[in-house]
Amino acid sequence: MTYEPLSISADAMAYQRDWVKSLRFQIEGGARYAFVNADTPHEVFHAMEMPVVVNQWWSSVIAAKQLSSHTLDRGAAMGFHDSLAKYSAMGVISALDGDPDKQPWGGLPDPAILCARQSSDDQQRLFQLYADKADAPLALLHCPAPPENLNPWWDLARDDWERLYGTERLDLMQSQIRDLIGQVEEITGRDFDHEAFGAYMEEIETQELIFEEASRMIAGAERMPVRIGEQIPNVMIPQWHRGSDWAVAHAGRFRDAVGERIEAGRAVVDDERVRMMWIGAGLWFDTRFYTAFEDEFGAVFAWSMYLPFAADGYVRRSKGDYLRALAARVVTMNEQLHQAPWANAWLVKQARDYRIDLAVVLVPEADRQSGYATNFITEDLREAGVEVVEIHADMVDARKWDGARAKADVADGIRRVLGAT
Amino acid sequence: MVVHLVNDLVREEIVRIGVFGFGVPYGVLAAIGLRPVDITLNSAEPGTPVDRYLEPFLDPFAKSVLRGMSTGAFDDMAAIIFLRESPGAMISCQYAFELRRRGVIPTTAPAPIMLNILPADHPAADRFNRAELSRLADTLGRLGWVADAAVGSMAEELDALIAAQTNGEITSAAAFEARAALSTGEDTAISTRAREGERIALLGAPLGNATLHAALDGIGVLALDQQALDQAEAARGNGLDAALAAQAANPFAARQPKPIFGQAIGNTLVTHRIDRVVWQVDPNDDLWGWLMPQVRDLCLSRGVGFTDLGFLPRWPERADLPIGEGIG
Repeated sequence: MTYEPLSISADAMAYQRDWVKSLRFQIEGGARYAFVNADTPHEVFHAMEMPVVVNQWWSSVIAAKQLSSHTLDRGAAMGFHDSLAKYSAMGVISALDGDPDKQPWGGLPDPAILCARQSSDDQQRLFQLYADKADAPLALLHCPAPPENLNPWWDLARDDWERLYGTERLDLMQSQIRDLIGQVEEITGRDFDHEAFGAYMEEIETQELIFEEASRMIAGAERMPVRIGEQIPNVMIPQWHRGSDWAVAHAGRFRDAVGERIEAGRAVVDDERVRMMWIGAGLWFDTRFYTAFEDEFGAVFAWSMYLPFAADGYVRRSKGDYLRALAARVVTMNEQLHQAPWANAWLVKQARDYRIDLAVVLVPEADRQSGYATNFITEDLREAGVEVVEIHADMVDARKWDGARAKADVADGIRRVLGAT
Repeated sequence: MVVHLVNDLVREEIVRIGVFGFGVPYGVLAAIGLRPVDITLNSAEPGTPVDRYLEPFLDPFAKSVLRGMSTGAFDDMAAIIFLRESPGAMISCQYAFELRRRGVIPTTAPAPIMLNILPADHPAADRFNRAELSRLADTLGRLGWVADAAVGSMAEELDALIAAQTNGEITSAAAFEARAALSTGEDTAISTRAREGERIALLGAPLGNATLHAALDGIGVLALDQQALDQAEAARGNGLDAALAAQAANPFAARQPKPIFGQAIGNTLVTHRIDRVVWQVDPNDDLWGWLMPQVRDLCLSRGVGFTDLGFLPRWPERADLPIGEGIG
C-alpha cells in the first residue's frame, strides 16, 4: 500500500506558506519585527501583534534552501572556527554576510529587537553580533540553573512548577518578561492587554492538550498511522502560531485525522516490524531519511520530540497568574530535552509509551547543548530494552552529512532488532 | 604540646569546600565568610569510571573535575561549588549529580552544589543573587561548614600579580603558577627576572597550565593574560553590595550579558602597552570564537599585531604549541 499523506498536512503547509508571504510582505513593507530564539517567550510578541522570525526556524529555511554550506563557509571566511554552533548561528551569519542572492527572501531587513535566553554559553555573544549589525536592542534573558533537576519533570511541570523550577528562578524570569513587555510596548506603541493575554494562554493550553491526545493515540496505535515527516509540520506549524484560532483548530483536525486513520486500520507500512524514535532536532536538509527504511525493513519512525513535547513542554496551569505560568514554560524549556536526568528519564518514558524498538540519536558535536547527556540517554534506553544508533552529524550542516553511512548504521541497528525478535 | 594537639583537632574539623569554574567571585563568597579551594585547574587523566559518560565535546575542565570526583581526588572536601556562569561548569555539576545517582561517583566524593551568581545588577538579578548566596550558606551549614569572618576577597593579591607581570617583575608563567597557588591556598616561590621584547597579551579561552605562558615568555614579554583579568575582576568587592556590583561590571566574564568586552579589551591593550595579541581556544570551544574576528579587527585598527594559534589543548605540552622561532 502506498503511503497517502493526510490531507490536512497540505492545509498546514499552505497556511504556513501564506503566513510566510504575509510576514515577508509585512517586513518588506517596513513592519518592525523581532528576531528571537525558539526558547524565548514568543507569547509576548504574539500578544502584542509584533511579527516574529524564529532563529532556528530561519536556520531550517536556510538549510532547506540548500544554502547552509555557503552560509557556513562564509562564517569560516569571517573567522568563526568550525567548532562553533551551527543551528543557532546560521541566521546570524547569513545576516552578517548580507548577500541578498544567498539568503531566503533576499535576506531579512534589520529586526527592531532581538531576544535570546542564555541557555547555552554562546547566546550573548552570538546575538550581540546581530544586534550590533542591526543597531537594535538585545533582550537577553538570564538562565540560572536549578539546584537540582527533579523528575518526573513532565508531571511536576504542569501544576507543581513552583517547586520544580524554584520561586527565585521564576521571580527572575517573570521580572525579565515584564521588562520585555515594556520594550515591546515601546517599539509597537501598543499597551499589553493582561486580560486578553490570559484568554490567549488558555487557548494555548487547549491546543497543547489536543496534541497530547493525538500523541497518546499514535503511541497506542497497533501500527503507526502517520509518518513523523507529517507529524512534525502538523505540530510545529501550529506551535509557531500557538493559541491562534487557526492553530487550535488545526490541532483538532490533526487529532481527528489521526483517529480516523487508526480506526480505519491504515498504517505507514502494512507489515510494521520495527518502531523507531528520532532523538534530536529535525534533519532539515534530508527529511527523506525518515522514510528510507519502510519498504526494505518495515521499519517506521514513530516518534520525534515535537508532538509529545507540545504538552509536556508547554502545559503550565496558570492558577490565575498567566505571566508566571509563561515564566514557568520558558524558564527551563530547552534544557528539559538535553540535560540529565530530565532528558534521559523522559525519553525512556516516551520509548515505553510508543513501544519503541530502535532509537536513532542525532549527536551534533558542534552544538554542545544539544549533544549533552547523550551517553546517559543511550545507556538508559538500552537498559529499557531499546536498541540505539548514534549519528554524529549536525541538523543544518549538510557539508558533513554522510547519508549513506547514516543509513547503513540505522540498517544495522534494524537488523539487530529483527535478529533479536 | 597541648597547644599543638588543640590545633590539630581544630584543623581536622575544618570543612574544606572546593569551587569549580573560572571567575570565582571571591568577594561575594567572602561576604558569607567562605574562602573555597579552587580545583578548576586540577588535571585528571582519562580511564576513570566516569569516562564512558563523557562526550568528546564536553568541556575539558568539566571532564577533569568529574574524573577527579570519581577517583577520590577531592575526598578531603565536603562539597564542590560549581559556578553556573563559567562555561562548562553547569553541565559538569549536572553530570556530577547524575553520576552520583548512578553510583559511578562514590558517595565519599564531595557533594556538588550549583551556584548561580549572575553578572548583572538590575533589581531582579540582585534579589536572585542574594537568594542564591543564602541558599549556599544554608547548604554548606548543613555540611558542617562554619563561616570565617576573617576571609577577604583576594583581589588585592591578584591585582598585585597582574601589576608585577605587566611591569616585567615576574614572568607570566610564574604569575600563572602564583595565581594557581593562591587560589588553592598554597605557597609558591615567585621567580623574578628582568625582561625585554615585544609586549604580548594572551587572549581567548582559559588554560590549565603555564606551558604556553612559558613559551611566550621566551619570545617576548607576556604582559597581559585575559584569564588573570577575569580572575581579578571577579574577585573584587569588599562587602556584598560591592562584590555583586563587581560581577555585573566584569567585562571578561564569559557569559557577561552586556556588550562590554570589546571596549574593555581595547582599553586594556592601551593600558598595558601591548604590541601583539596571541589568541587561542579549546578545540571544542563554543563561546570565545565568536569574539575572535572582533578582537582581530580591533588589533588591526590599532596597529597591534594579532596571532591566532587556533585550537590548543587546555593543558598543552610544548609540542602542542605552533610556535617556532616567533609568532609574528
